[in-house]
Amino acid sequence: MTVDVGAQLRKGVVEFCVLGQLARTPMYGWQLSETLVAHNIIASIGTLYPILSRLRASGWVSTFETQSDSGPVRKYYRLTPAGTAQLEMFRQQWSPFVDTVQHLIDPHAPSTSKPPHQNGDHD
Amino acid sequence: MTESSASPEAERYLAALNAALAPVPVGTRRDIVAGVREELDGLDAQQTAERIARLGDPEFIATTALAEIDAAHSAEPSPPASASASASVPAPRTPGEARWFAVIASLLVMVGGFVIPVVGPLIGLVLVWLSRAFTRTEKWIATLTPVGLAAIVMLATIASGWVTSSTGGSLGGSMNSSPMSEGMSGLTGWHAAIIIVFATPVPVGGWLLWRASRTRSAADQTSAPEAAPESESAHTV
Repeated sequence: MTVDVGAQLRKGVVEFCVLGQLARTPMYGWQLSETLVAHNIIASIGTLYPILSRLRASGWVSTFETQSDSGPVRKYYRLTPAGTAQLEMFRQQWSPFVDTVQHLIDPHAPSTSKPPHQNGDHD
Repeated sequence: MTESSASPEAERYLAALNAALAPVPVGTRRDIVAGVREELDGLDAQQTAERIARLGDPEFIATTALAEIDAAHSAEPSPPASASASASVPAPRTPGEARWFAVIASLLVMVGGFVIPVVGPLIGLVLVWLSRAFTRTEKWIATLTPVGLAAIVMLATIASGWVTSSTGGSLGGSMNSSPMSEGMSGLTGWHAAIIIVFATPVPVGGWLLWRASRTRSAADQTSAPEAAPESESAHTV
């Protein structure tokens, strides 16, 4: 059974990447899609919309329509307070998680059952 | 009512996209087409071609959308069936609902009662629920309209039955004092309710038929329902 490692990794984080982008500024679909595709987080704009659907269903993202800079009316996506809280929770867990995984897969680390550090050590 | 100023090339692309997205749930499909239309609006031919090149092949967009939806389903707390959550070709699935499915469902609701009373429209209603061409709201409207109207008529009948019996047939005319005619007026009310149950599926089925054909039209703007039916442009069969 071959597993696409990249896809498995992305599956877990892609929603939070969307939340992270929207935390900076509200964006419309194409804007988001361009950025995420460029970073190889999603394959196409088709991947994005089901994710946005789920985020809206969870109450983490909401939409509004307004005139964009280039003229036409566009549908923008933005974070809700719940979405902001969710993103913050992810941020707090992400760094320790990365360190833990790194420690577990590091070929040169001494094998030990003790994790390298506890939650709360990081900012 | 179309405010879109997308070029013919853009319309062709959007039609192809809508067709490729047929297997995708209708809400997401409309979101994707509307989002892409937003992007292609007001561009000239050159810009449109550039943007379309960056968007990618409609089939690819559809494939990745389905992969994402499948991945979300298999991420629920049961072991994933396979590692097909990658952005490449998903596990083989039915090529999506045949175009005629929603049409047959609508027609059954509309005229099924004249072929097989009650059962005909009911079968049609079941097919409507199974169809991906209708949103949840549309399905509930189709289900509740005949039921709701019939319930209202039956309640009105019961209420008027209480009124006439309490006034003791003093509404004038010798006819009213006969027990048989009192029974008859009650029966007429129930008849009206039954007629409603038979008759309302006809306009409801017609409305479903119109919604089904609108979903297939590439002229879909947003997921908001619109008052006037749009003319169907590029209609790939």
